[in-house]
Amino acid sequence: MRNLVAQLLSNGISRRDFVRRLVAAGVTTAAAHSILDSVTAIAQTPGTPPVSPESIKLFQGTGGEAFAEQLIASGVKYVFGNSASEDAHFYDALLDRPQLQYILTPHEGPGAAMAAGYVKASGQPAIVMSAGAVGLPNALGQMFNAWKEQTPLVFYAYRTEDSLASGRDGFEELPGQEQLAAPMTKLSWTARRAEMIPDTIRRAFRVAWTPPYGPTYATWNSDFTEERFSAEIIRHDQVDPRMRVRPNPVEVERAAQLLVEARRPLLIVGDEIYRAKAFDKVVQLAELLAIPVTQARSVYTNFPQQHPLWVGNIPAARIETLSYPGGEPDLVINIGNKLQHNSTALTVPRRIPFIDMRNDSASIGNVLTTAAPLVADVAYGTEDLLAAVNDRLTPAIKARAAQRLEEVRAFGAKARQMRALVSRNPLWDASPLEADRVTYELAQWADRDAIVIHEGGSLEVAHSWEFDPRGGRELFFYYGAHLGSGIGTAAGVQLARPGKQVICLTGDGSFLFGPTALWNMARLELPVLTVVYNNHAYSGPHNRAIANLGGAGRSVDARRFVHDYLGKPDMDMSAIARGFGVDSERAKTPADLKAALGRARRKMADGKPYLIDVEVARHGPGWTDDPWVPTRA
Amino acid sequence: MFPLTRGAAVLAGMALWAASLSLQAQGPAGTPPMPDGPGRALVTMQCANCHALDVALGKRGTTVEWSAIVKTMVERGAPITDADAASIAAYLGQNFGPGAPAPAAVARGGQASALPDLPGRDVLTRRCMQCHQMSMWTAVRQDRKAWESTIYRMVGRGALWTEDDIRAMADYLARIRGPLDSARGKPQ
Repeated sequence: MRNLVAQLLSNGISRRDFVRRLVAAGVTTAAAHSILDSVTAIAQTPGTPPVSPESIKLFQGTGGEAFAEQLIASGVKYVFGNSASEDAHFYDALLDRPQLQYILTPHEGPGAAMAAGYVKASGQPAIVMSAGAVGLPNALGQMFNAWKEQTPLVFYAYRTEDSLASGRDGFEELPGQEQLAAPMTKLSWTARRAEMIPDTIRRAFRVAWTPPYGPTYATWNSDFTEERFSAEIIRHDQVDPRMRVRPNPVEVERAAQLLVEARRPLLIVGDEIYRAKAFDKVVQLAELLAIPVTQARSVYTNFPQQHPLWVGNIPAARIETLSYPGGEPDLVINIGNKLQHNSTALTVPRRIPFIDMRNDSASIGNVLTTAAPLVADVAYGTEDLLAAVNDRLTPAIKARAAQRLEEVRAFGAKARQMRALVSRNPLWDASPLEADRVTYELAQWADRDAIVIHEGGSLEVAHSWEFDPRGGRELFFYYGAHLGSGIGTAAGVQLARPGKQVICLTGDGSFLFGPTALWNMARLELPVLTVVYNNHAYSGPHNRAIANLGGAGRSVDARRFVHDYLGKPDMDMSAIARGFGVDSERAKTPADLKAALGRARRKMADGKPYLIDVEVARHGPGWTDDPWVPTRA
Repeated sequence: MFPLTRGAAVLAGMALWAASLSLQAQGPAGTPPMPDGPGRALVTMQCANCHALDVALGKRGTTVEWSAIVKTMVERGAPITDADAASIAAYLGQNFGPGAPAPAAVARGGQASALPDLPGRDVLTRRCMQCHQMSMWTAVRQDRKAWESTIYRMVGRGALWTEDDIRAMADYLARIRGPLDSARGKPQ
């Protein structure tokens, strides 16, 4: 119960989840709602919450033990680490602390991806442990992903440069080690004394989990872990600022007025909605005014895609590329999307008034000008906006919204039919398979609430998959794009959501950057289905490189490409999987694939992971059936 | 398989920009030579800030028409002052006006790659260039079935097209970018 309350207050779980878990624990629904109301009331009461005797304690022991104690107090259940002799006292401390489980990951990259997947899917804290300056660099790629995706993941790696042996170019010594992490963490901090270990860890979790979320890095001398000292261990809820901000009421009124006056409004949704579990409120706002909804590049799906107001993702980072009824919008509202800009071209042209609601105040106004900036927790912000819009509704506005709803609904139905045309591809039954055929078959096979981990650079799945974060199928997209995250993320998601069907879609190129988490799936019996779209090539860079050459060039004429062909010999991903203890097979035809999926289902029902290495067609200019490869000079 | 890169996103953006032009498209080309003159440096600096120059300089238009395009770029976020916009439009109108020679087409197999005026060209330029530039496909030669398959893969990537559109585009591409006759090096 205490943990649940802490999670609710720190926004780790939604109110609905809080009630559901209480009911699952044997509390009646009425009592659960009553508890929820009480907790909410306490949380909204000014002043400091009461301090229970267990919330702060004085601990005496080694640095390793204090580290473990503070992790437990910070709410951590899983430590994702790779072996390091300097952390011996920490490992020792775990023996009598079974509530803190160490997951050995054989490479820090996929290990960190697994931790990130766990954090994203559970809303629970976790830590990545690396072996000093030799292990940390392996985790940096996933630290970058966590930074870009705003994942509250804490990293730790000891340091040796300040140890008694420092300055001698010693083993693992790297001057300024923390500078590796500094550009992509919210906090990078070194404990100056052993007694500061708990405080440093506490701070790392507090900063990571205070919105806007992001990774943090904690470090200290390896010597400290064996030192004995006394220090406070403080539970997370005692230091968590529980920052959930309501927007400026003046701006709420301004935004509401703009919304009701708009003839062609458009709503862009983003990942802050997922993190705040604000789906229902956002749906309610969209429905109130019949606003068409789209999404720019994101980690999650943040709006139910079966909804009649859903008009599809923005194809090319600018709303001009979006097809939807009514022509150019006369107002755009963004709720929770980072709106990544890759050039000076704007997602929303300046001529269109723009409302921006996010908790990430530092990025509001960074690129786009805003008619109404709403710095807020998007659940609270949408709630306030709903109230303000409701106050302004007139019969004329309602009639306009009703008409718009019908237009958007008709468009959505037609768009769905057009997306389904993908199966008219004349190569639909060909071997090697069309990638779209693989995606389609998976969509037919998957559970209604399956979770898809997407790390396929050339894959578009929207033609066959409709996601719904409110209990339907869910998507975890590799927004950060440091490759090698897919397998680890899938393992972490499955760890966080036991009982859910987890499917990892990955290209062969992506897969090769991080397959080691397959071993974690096998060891922990995480029944993930991994599907490798194997075209033996980096096909995205192939096509784009040729486009950058103007569609021509000597390499095209000669049909010689040095940078993109992964064959000769072809790599067998199913053999790699078996090496990690995961049963697997290859599929070369649609019939092979269907049969393989049947075997995968049976295997997964037994709690085992499975991998299908699917031979997919290579497309693009210049490919031949027998591609050229450079020979050794 | 590999992810969308920054370069790809920029390509998509510039392709869309190109799609919005009302001027006659001349086909892909390498970056054309730019005569010296007032405004040349501004064009190099400002236009290339967002997109490849060949995308712009493959077009022809009057100073007034170029002014409209530059204005659109400003609306889309290009940091160009009124004075610079006027200089850019004047330079482009003078050197890349309606009477200027067509840019050198990129030769492949001895064939100029300007789009022939055949049935299906309009739907192709309207649809394909909604998301990418022509150089994404001008290196490809394949038969109609393969072109049709390519277009259906675009449907898989989110293109909302009718079957009539798809047929028209496949017919057109098969005519202009069909397989070469291996003996003569000419389209079959």
